[in-house]
Amino acid sequence: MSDYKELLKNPIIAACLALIFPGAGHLYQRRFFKAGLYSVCIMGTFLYGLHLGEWKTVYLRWEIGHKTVGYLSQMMVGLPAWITLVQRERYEPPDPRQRFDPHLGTRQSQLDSGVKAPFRGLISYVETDGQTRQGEVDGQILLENMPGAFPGAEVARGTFTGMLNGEEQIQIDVGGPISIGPRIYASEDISPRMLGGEEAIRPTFSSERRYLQCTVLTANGDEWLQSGSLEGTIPRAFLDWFQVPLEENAYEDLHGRLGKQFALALVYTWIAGLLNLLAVWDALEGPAYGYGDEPDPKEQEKAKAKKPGTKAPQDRNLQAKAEAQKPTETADAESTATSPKS
Amino acid sequence: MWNLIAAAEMNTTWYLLPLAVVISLVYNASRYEIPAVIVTRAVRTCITILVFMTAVFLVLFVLSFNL
Repeated sequence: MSDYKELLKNPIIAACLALIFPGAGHLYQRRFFKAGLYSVCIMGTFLYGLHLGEWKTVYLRWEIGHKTVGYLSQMMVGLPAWITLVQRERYEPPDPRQRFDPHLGTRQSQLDSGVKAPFRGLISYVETDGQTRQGEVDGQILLENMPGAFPGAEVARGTFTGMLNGEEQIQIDVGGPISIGPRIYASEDISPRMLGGEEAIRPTFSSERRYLQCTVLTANGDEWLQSGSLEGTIPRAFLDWFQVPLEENAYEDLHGRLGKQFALALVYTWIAGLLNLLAVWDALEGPAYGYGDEPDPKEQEKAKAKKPGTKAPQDRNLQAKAEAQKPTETADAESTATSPKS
Repeated sequence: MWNLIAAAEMNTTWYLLPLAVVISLVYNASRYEIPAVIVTRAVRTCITILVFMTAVFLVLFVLSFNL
């Protein structure tokens, strides 16, 4: 049997490391088998839970009517679940009133410095010769922010270059007051509301895509005329939606689509957190029942009972008890003998 | 229709199998140190969990028969 102190090194440091990442504490203690086992089992369970819930099972909301109490368990996994604390800070807008779009019913982000991204969606506009062009577009959009150009709305100017209906190359001027999905957002309704027709009736939620709608502009001398609309999506970076707090409608959409699978996904992530508590305790105190190489007490007793001339510990205990009772019994007998009869 | 529902229920149950394996391994790893002992005990714990769950499943199945 090894020495516990030697094995555990500095248990406090090990426990902290185990809390930060499953298996890290045991790696520090050079208990490689356990480090690997904890890391694979706990992280595997946690990641599988995330995968089952479309990577949206871990987030923190603490508001009336929507409290993610399960996060208290998930956070025990360590750093992989603590990302949400940063994401929550990034997600909270500085002034919600400014960023709430009553038309769309969602919080809207500002354009920041502008947008340069691949764009795909729908377009409908009238050319200078009066011909209407519409269809699906796929290309590159470039928008520059024009702060203060139109009070109360985000205004941008730029161009779209790409393919119309997959067969014709187009380059058009776009801009005007735009509507764009928030940059930091877990899951957003990206259904085309203006050009989608029947598609717009049913909301389509996406994390990887960001809604964008702007006006098609046509030059008329020195003036710019609004000649149509461009509506679609641009990509949203993984770190801009992963573990970001879910909005109520997106949460309901997930529940509706995944059903029991979403509940199971949550259970997986909760259990991963609880299992890491065992790993932390093991890093701090060592194995609860010993190393596992100690002789089994039951087998020891059996072996002793088989040997002639030796008695099992239980028998010895009984014998000792009997011997201890003997003097008191004799004393009682003597006292009854000497006492006068009633 | 009912076959589809039954198949879906079965799929959900299968998700518990890896969970039982992981719980057994981590639980026993926190109790013992020697890898061989951990694995042996984990197998025993896993079988116990699965037998217990099967028993509960059968009881519930019998109770809900023809409902």
